[in-house]
Amino acid sequence: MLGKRRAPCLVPILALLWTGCGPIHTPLRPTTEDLKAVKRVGVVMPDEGRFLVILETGKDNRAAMAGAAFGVVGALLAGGISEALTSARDRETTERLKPHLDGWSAPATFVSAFEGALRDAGQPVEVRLLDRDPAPADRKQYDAIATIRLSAWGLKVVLAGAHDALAGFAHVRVDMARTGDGTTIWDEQNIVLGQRRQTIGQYERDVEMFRDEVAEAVKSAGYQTATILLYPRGKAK
Amino acid sequence: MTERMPTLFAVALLASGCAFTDATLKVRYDEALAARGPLSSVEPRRVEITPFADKRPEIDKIGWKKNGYGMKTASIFSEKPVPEVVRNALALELAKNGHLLEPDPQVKLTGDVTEFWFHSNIGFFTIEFVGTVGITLNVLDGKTGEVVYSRAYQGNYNEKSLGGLDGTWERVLNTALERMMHQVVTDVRLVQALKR
Repeated sequence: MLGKRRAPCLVPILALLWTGCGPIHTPLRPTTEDLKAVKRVGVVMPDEGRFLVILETGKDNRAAMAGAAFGVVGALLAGGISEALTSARDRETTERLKPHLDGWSAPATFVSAFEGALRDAGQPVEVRLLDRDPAPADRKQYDAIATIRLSAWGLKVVLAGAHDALAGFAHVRVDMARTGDGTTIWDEQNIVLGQRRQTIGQYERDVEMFRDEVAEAVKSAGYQTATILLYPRGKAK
Repeated sequence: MTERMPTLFAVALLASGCAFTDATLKVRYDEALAARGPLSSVEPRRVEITPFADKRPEIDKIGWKKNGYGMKTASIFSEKPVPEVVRNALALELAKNGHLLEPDPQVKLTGDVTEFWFHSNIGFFTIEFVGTVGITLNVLDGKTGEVVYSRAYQGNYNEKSLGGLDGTWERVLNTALERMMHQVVTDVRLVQALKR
């Protein structure tokens, strides 16, 4: 009898716990179906990113959790790269290496790789780079508007250990909505890594290698972002 | 009090997601994801994929369960060996793009699995689940064994929710694998290496 009286209270608790397992935020990537009618895309790329050297951020969290040195990129992505440079060592190293990139533009490198990938694939999607988000009347000339934010680039630890190994990285956030119905079909962030795994000392001694590694990561990010548009997969969720 | 015990136990069990028992996930690459893409621009090649070496820092598990204080409470395993999961994904994509997984190969693919890890960041109200999959892939001339191309690929996926169980964790890792495979199959330099 007592059990029956309690049952009504238990139901909402269990329901809350059950429904609570659904995602609050799920990254979205455009599928084949999403892009079927998307032939012209306006791309806005705000100039707001910055150079970072991340020696500490993301590492502590991971090491404490795992007791091992892996998955640092995922941890950083989850923690939010915008919170990077919380450590004095990160800030100092960033300032020391920053001048070596004078005269080089990360956004220009990204855009060049992005456009190059589209061109090489025969431009199945017509992409126009825009200075700013178009006015409502102008939006109609595009099937979708994408905002691509290259929010950070630089070097980051990818293998923590006695001698931390760093790779070039580029952090990209993309959101894209169809202009017809306003549906968001792309909403994700990603960290793209370069290929080298060197210590901070090695990068500081070989400035040419440092520049090349950072540029390569940014180029890869531009290329990979374009391939998501060019080669979508799966059905709409 | 005794009558309350089953209720309390049920609520605690759901809330904790059985934090103290090991979990085994069915991590796999969905066959339906394999699609024709840049790899199909190469005329069909006889390809051999050798078993991937497992170079992960922890090869017996793919993650840990944690409690609300971030302490490890149990292990998460993959039902199938991780190198096999990755190799199968690559085999599916190559076959879908018209290449032949046959003896006497023109091209040999070797590789290492460097990361295959699930973890969760527990916040005050939410949990963020993160999956990371990384490999190094080498393309070798099937006759001479010369390495003609080598590259590291990595896929990440993260999802935030109020909670999640095995199904969520599987989805997170499978999506990370899917994203890494997308990088592999759209890599123009890999396509060029296969054309050699």
